[in-house]
Amino acid sequence: MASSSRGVQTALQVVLAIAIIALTYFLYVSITAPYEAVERQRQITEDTRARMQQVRDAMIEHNRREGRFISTLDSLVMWLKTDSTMVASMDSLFGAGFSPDSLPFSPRTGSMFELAVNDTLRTPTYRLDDPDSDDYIGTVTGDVTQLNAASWE
Amino acid sequence: MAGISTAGVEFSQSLMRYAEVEQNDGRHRLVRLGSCEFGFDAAHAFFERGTVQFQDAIRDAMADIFRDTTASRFSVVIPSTRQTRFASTIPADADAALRTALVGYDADLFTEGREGGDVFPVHLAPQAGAHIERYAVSHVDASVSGSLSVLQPVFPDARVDMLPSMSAALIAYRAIVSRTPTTEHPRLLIGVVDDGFEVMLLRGSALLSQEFVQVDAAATLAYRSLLCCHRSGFTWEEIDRVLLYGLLSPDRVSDALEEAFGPCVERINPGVVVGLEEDHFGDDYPIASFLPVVGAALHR
Repeated sequence: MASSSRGVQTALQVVLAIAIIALTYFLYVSITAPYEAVERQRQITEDTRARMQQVRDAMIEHNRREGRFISTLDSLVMWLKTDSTMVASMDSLFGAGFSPDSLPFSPRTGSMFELAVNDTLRTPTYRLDDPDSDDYIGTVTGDVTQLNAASWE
Repeated sequence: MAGISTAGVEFSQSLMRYAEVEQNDGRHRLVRLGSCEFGFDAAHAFFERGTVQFQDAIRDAMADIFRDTTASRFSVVIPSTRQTRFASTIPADADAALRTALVGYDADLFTEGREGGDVFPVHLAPQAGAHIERYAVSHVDASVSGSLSVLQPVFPDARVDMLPSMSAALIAYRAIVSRTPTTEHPRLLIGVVDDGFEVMLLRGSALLSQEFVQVDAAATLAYRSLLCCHRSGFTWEEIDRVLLYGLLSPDRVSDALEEAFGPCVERINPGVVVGLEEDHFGDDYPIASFLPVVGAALHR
């Protein structure tokens, strides 16, 4: 009789231990999952902004060398891939492993960034928009004080 | 990204201020900063294309100061006195072509149809619920922009461009505030320049209004600054700080502004953009006068 009661007690302890472990796991997941989602989102935003900054650097470099802003992202990629000076200095300008083909696309959704150039004034300006967020760089209003300025900086 | 070096130059009477900044991954490194005093009115000689000797002297000084430069762009600060300034209002849904056409129409109107020249529109912060965009526009005559040809032979591989004084100061101010915690309190940025005062009202980095006030008396400047705040719906008590740049001695300007706005008047230090804090300079070094030229050097 006493041994049967001890068996039930042990079984109960095992069940409770499993329940504690399961509940601890669910509690842990419920706490960390939203944080990880936020972290993932933050990382994607950072990656997207970094990509937009690379487009900005390429636009500035093109303007510096050619005296004008290039009007489409496809032309910008083509210029990076075919201009001998740019090909030679690609790693030093954009870091090792840089791929020009990925430049026009947002890491967030794969959508293409939107580029508009206003070259009707003495100092041309451009605006680069991320179609999936409110982030942008520059302006098409011709306001030189906003030239190359990122909305998040 | 490899560093890109850009330079700014400003002429104020017999003085030429200069700055060169290397920008790399959003960081700025000061390459050179200083001023050069000529024995003649350098601003007049440069912008009015005075005698050949004076132009040669300016070219020689530039070549000497920037002898080892790698700057790909030189931005010359255009004084407010050499601009025609006006405001343009444009429908918020206007495309770039219409916006340019409307600003061009206003420029034609305000310059009485003078041929050529360049316009520099600066976007003012939108008012709540407004369906128009407001611009403070500077028009620079072709004769002024033609003076840039004095410098081009000195820097044949660089682009020599120009920037209105207030736009240059605004670029530097925005670079400063981007390094400090943001405040939603309105601030006044006031430049004491040749023949007048440049007054800008800002909230954060957004420009609410700007005007060039051509008065002599500091008390009149204080009144016009209060008026500028009043037009935007602010009282003197709401102004967080009044930041001064330009020719700041004697102290009559800061005294008059303190009387109007209280003890919130201070000189701005553009050196912080390139990591130079206030204590880096001697008490008598006019670092606040370098705000526009530092802004021009940041323009790339």
